[in-house]
Amino acid sequence: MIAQQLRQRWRRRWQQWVGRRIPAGPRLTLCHRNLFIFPTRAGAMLGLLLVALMLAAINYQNAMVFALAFLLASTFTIGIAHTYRNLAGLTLVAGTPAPVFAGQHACWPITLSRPDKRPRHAIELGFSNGPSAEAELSTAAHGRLEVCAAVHERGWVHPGRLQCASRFPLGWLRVWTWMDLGRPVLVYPRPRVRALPDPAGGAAELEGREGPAGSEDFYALRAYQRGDPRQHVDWKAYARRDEMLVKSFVDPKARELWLDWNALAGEPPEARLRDLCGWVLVCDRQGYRFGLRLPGATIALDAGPKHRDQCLRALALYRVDQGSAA
Amino acid sequence: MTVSASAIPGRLLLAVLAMQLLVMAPHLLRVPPWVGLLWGLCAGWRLLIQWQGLGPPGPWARAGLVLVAGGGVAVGYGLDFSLEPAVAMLLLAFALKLLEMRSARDLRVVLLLAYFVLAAQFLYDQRMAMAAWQLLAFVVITALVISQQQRPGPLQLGASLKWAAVLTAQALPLAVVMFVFFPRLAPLWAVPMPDSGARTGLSESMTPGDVARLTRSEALAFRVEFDGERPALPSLYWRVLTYDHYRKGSWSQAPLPADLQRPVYWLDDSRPPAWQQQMPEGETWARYTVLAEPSWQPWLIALDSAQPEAGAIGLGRDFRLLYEAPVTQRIRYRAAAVRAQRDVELPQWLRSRNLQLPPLGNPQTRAWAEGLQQRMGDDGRALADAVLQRFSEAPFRYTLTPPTMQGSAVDQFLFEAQAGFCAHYAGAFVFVMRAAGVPARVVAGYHGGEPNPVGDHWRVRQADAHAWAEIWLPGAGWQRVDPTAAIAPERVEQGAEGLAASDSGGTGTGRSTEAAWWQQGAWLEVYFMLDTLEHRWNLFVLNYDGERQLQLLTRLLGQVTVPRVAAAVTLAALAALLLALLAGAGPVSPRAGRPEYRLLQSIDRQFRHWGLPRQAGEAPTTHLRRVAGQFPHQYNELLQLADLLEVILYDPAAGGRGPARAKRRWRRLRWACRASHLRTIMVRRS
Repeated sequence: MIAQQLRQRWRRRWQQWVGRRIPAGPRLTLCHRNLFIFPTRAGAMLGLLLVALMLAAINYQNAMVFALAFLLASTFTIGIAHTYRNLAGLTLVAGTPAPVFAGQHACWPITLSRPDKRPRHAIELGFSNGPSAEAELSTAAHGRLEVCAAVHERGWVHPGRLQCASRFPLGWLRVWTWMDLGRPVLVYPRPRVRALPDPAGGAAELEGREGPAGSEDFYALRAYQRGDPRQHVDWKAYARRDEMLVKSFVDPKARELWLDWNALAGEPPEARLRDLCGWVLVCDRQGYRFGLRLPGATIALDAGPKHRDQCLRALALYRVDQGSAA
Repeated sequence: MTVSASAIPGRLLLAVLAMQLLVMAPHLLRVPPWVGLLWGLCAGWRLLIQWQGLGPPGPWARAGLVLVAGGGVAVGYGLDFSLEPAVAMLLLAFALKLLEMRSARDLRVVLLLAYFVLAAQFLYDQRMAMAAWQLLAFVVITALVISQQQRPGPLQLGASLKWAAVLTAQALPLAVVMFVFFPRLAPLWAVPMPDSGARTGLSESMTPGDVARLTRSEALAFRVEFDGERPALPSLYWRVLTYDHYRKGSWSQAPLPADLQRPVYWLDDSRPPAWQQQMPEGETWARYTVLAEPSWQPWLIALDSAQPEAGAIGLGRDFRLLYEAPVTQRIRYRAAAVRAQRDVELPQWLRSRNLQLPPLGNPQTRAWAEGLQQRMGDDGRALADAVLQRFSEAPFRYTLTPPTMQGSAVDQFLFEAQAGFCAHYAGAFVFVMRAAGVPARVVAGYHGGEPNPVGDHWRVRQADAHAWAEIWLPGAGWQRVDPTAAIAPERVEQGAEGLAASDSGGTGTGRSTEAAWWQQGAWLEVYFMLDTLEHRWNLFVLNYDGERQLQLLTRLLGQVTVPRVAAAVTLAALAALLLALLAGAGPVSPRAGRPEYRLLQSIDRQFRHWGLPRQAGEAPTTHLRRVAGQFPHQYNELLQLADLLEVILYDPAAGGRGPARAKRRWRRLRWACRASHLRTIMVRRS
């Protein structure tokens, strides 16, 4: 118990210290204040080798083995400067991430730029709970990439610190920074597929279930085919992912639907939000005109992506602490 | 994270193999050939795995290979614990690791092993050329370490070599500082010493009758530097050993009497023993520094009657220098040569030792010696002169290829063969003197040497090994007599060198005519320079020991204390770091490296050479168009080149093969332009 408390306290202190050193913000220029450097495992192995070499040199009184050990040690020392220089001076700028559903990966666009012509190599970027991305600035002055992190809770989610690291050139040392992007991502509730509510108020079976239950891909997007109307192309997605997607529209039937918090009585609030979220997506895909009734908030009947996003946002931020919103 | 974890790319594998060959090459010249063969097998197998899709060895094959390797070492070296099998095992592990090198991690292990293999080679050879080779290997290993961090994939070997060279160059000054400042500790525990293989030089005993042909090794025995003027060659008798016991044709050292007080005078003893105190002060006629190669014996080399000056050195009862342990590393010591009377009073036990002869054998010699004694009386000097007189007459001759002599070897030498080398003459002389009642002993050592005018030092080879005699004369003590001087004075006048040249009897002796070309004319200078370089390397780098370190650091720091040394090293490390931070460290400037810029530089240089330089602010293509007028025959082609360059330089979409095409065109044009330029000059001159 006490050990755990101590550990937590240390962790808090450590985070406070890092926070003071590297203040939150979407823009960070790397320098000695915010870069850390430490030997890697390969560096530790080299340390063992050095010890062995020194023992051999001393026991054999061998000048050249001494020289070899010292050359290795000083290469390591010089390596500190080169490893540091590989990141120093770089500027990282974080963009705004697109909203995602809980359980998905949220991706932050990061732009790397260097102040000089010196090439920078093998830069790893990543969150502690996501895959790492790699950047290389050998000829281009700028690099853009997306760094993703898994998000599990709805609301405004902070991804934790972004780690930007490099082991170039020797791999014996690793230089890194922890960047607090200060750009939370809006996370919608994780949608759940359920029968749409009956317009009369009861629940009706949805004709043609869309995908297996629990499937997370609720974007009604499909690959572009020749002949698709140009205004249906999702240009935002194109800019983001470099693939041409088309919003598929179903002819809006003159059907209207109220998605009501109270219609889901008996379920815990989070489950209700997940259901509502699923409904919003289905209604939007099916071309319903729908409205959303939440305790304390009502969104009038409407249709279209803007309306959908408004509803999702309302669900994401339902009774979320105002303090954490950016 | 680093190399794709599943496989090592083919080009990287080739680079690893090349690196291994580079690192192992010096070892392979020394270890048995099967070690190299096993490496070749592993390399070949690995290549087949890579390109023929052959499976990696299964557990049984791996166990078999390890057994073969271990068994080979056990059979080849025996099971004793020594350095050679350990190094062989290291090399085999280095080779076998190839077969299970699957991931970046394995490669890292191989690279660390490579550094260790480098170190192992230094246990055998630390010469300057070897150090240069190993430095090259170091850069290559480091390049492979760097290549693992490169994207996309570890394939830009040229760039990583450049990085490695820059890093090593920046690391060298700091390494030198560490080398100078790091305390030289005494060995922490005893380790098996490297076996240098064939050991030549002097040995515990001397049996001249057994030797049918004296092999003369060119190997270096020691180098020596004299303070001030160097003495004349004939006086350079380097004493190493004395033989005072004769048995069955063999000379050796008799064990010292058990009750003898302090047979060796160690320099750190507070008070010299009685036999040393009795020695009158003599004139010091030379001071010198010896840098002796390992002899694997505790003997040191000293001129005349030696006076050691420092170190763990002792003076033996027979006035030779001794080291506290066998000399397994190159050793440096200072001594002085003193013209002193040794053992003016000869103790009885020493007298009887130096008159010792076996009760029987060599009757002819004994009879002759007794005859001499009856004629000359007890005058040792006269007796010695008579024997030398006899040696100087025909048919005695000096040869390096004497007949073998068994049984009464001295009789055979003196009355039948009458031919031999220094050991025969010295041995026979001492036998005769003893038989005539004069205390005498054989001295083994070196004579002369090869002066190096460039480095102002002497080089003494094993081929300069020599044997002579010492006789004891009342009132004068031990006196040197060199019987060989009587038969072959040139051996003493010019050293072994002069002898080999004039040795009519010896064929194929040590340094004969075929080895002499590099010691003549201009080559001689080069030879002396290389020898001097090697000597300085030995002296200042390899023999940089605690004593010299203390001297140097006292000069540098004023006072050698732990905080001062630590501060110096830390400062140096910080300075090196700062320099590396500030230096235009990126060895690869993307602009300078691009082919089109290199091409532009080449064009600029060429036209500047022809006196048509580019004006300040003039664009390269404008310049080219302007100067094209000077080359009427190439005018159109030069304009085309300018157009092509314009596209390459200013249209980023062009890219691709443009630069290569422009380069080819320029190369062709350059020749044509050069020809017309020459023509223009000639026309102008005429």
